Amino acid sequence: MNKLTIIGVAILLIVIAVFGYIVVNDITFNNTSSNNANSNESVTMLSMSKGGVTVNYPSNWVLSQATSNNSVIAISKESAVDNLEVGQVNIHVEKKEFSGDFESFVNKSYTNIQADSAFDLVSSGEVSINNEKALEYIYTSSANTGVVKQHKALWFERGNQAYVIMYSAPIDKYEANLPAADYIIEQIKIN
Amino acid sequence: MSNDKDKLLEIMASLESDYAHGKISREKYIYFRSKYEDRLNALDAREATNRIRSMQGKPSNSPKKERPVRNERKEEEDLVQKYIINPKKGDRKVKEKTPMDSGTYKLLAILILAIGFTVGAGFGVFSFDFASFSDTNASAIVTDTAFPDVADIHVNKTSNVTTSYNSSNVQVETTSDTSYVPDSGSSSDRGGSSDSGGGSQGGGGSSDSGGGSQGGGGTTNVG
Repeated sequence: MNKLTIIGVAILLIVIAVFGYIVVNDITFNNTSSNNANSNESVTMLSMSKGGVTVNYPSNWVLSQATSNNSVIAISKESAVDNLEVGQVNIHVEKKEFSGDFESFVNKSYTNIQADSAFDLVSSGEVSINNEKALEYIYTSSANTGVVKQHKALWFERGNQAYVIMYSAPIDKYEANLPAADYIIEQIKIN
Repeated sequence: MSNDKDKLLEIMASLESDYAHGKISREKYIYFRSKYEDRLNALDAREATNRIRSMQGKPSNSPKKERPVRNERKEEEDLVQKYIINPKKGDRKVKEKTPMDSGTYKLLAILILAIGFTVGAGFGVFSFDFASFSDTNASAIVTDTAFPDVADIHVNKTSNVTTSYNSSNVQVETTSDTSYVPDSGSSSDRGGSSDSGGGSQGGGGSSDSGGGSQGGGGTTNVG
């Protein structure tokens, strides 16, 4: 094997190695660039898939453990987690099996809410998210501790499964976190 | 030279006698005789040439004749050694080179691709942020839910007021109960609101005071 062959092999190895490095790190590069467009902070976009739901969320949000039996995945804004590790600003994806008409099922869920004084329905209607029809319900709830929270629930139909993406925040923090929540909700993919 | 000529003459004499005695056929006799005569003539011609050359003062050609014979033998031996005894020595090198080279290059190419891919992927994996895919780093609790089971909550309000007076002690007993009876057994959240404080609900506490006090619930003893 002459010198030229050895040099050629070495160059080829380096080229392939660099190419492989770039290919594997492509996601990271993309993440970094998409971040900078979104926020002035040095946050990166993270990704998490669970139960057929993929959530892309900024690194100043954290994964959460939901108490609901219907929970698929939940994230909380890190700065809004209290001393008891309960997230106050959350995005929670849940799913529940239903039979019959989807809209009837969703409406039924809120019929009783309207009757309860702890809940106030702010608005409801049909919206389109990523060219997909969804039912939107915005309402407030007051907890026993006196904290009033506002919720924005978006319902999606997947066969006989009803998926709901719910953004919740204390009413004084709702509007401030709404743009970020809307962005995260738009990134959520339900398979 | 003269020995050769004598030998040839003897051979020719024996050939004559054999033919005379009928030991060999006429065709053979003619064939061998002409052959021996040619050789004899060649010897005579060589003798004559040597004589002329010696008369001219030049060395005779007789010793030189042996050289080409020796060279031919050597060449033959060399050829036999080269192509018959070890005929594949040279050929092997040529034949082995071609297939071995192509196979080696193929293996080398595969090896390069494998090593390159491994090295590149290794670098990529080394610098990849696996934390973004971690499932176990849940660092908060979410109590909000879109299924608060409010349909199963029945609100029962019961007020019992019992007042009893004794001569020595005036005892005022007031009881007020407000109870939420969730069928599902859940008491933490209603419609997505969080319950991190775990405070008491609408009564249930008790206090003792010297004066007559009325509270929303509980028992007040007036001493």
